[in-house]
Amino acid sequence: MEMDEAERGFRDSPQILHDERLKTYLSGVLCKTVGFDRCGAARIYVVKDHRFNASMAPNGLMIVNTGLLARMHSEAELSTVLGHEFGHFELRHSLNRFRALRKGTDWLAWLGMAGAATGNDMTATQNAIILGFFSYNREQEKDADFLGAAYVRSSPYPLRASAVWKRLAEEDDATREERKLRKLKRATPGATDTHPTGAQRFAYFSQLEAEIGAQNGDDGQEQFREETSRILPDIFAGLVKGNDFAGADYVIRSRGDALGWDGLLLHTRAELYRLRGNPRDLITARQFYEKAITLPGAPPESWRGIGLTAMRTGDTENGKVALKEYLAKAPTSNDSAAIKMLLEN
Amino acid sequence: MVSNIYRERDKKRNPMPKFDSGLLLPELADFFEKSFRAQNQLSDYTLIESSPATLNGAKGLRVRYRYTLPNDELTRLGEARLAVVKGKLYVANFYAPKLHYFDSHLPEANNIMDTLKF
Ligand SMILES: [Zn+2]
Repeated sequence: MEMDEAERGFRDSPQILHDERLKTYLSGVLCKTVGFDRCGAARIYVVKDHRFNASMAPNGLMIVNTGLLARMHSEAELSTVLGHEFGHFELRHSLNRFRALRKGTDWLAWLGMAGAATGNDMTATQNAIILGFFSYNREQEKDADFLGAAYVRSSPYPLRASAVWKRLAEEDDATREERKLRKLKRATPGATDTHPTGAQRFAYFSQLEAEIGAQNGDDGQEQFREETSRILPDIFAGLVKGNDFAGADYVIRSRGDALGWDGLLLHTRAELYRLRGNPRDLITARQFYEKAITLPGAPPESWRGIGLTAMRTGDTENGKVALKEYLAKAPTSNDSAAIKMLLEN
Repeated sequence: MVSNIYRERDKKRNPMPKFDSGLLLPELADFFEKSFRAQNQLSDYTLIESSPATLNGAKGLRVRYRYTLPNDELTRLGEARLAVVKGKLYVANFYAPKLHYFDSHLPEANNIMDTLKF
């Protein structure tokens, strides 16, 4: 399919994570999932957005959020989400909805629709690029789930969808508990709900996963760990620097538990604690940084973190040693002048 | 002076980071980023540089950054100055679309920040 002007604007948007290796990798997982004869219809873009989401437009443009990658633990898990989105595309769900509303069939009209779905009228603003998501009805969601699962079943991957939904529920619980919000009852959906609830999805995916042969195949976990560790700061930045401490900590911990802790992931957790900055957090953060630098993959910023947390908690001498080490390791870092000034005082 | 840069409009759903007067100078850039991200619901924010600067004669930090707003592809730039005086945080922040606006108004913004009194 031809790329139109709107998509070119989208491709050049600064919200897109430009990483060819990652795009190639994700396309590969999609192709293994839905088949090499089908996957050519999709053009994948990775969007810097910390939320769990992906979508596919009728013209084949597929969006994968960094926040989705942060929450996946293997190619098999990723394949269930990509398969689901491809399912919407194959079933022409958005096109159906589109025609029903008697809009044109061009891409810009689709953008307008997506705006309506997210509650913002995007066609009114010039230069607007939709990074929002199309909304489907409950039946369509369920159909896409089952078609996605069917793709995975005929792919080299085992079916691993229920674990994803279970973790999303646990993450949401963690966030709600910290914010003292009422926890959601995860039972049957109400008449106005557009999606099957997480609990329903968990239930029917668990059933599908129990079928004979559904667990056969390679999860592609090691490959997934390698390809996402390479860009860990990109996929975790929004979570670590956001204001949902409990949710972010849940996501980081569950990745560490599933894929193992390397220096970069532990550094990421240390940053989360330091940035919240309760007195206890500073001590915890320092411990994580100090452990991180004993593991492969710790960035120079781990020494920055040790230095800052040490100085904050009264250990000025060791703090300054660590900050000097940071400057030695990253002499051209974007805050070296500010660090030098701190060292001079 | 409030304890957070931005007024908290929804404490439960979008809590603002709390300012702690114990923050070290380089950490003001981290605090600014968290606040600015929360206030504008940003997913895309990059620190270009943080360096020493003054605000109303006080030692502080200059933070240069780049960001985009949700559902908008315009690259935007910003420059903020932060200083802590007697335990209170003072912030002057200038931000604008990169194209046409930022560079042309930066001298004026810097002039205001240079002469700001409080
Ligand atoms: Zn869907």
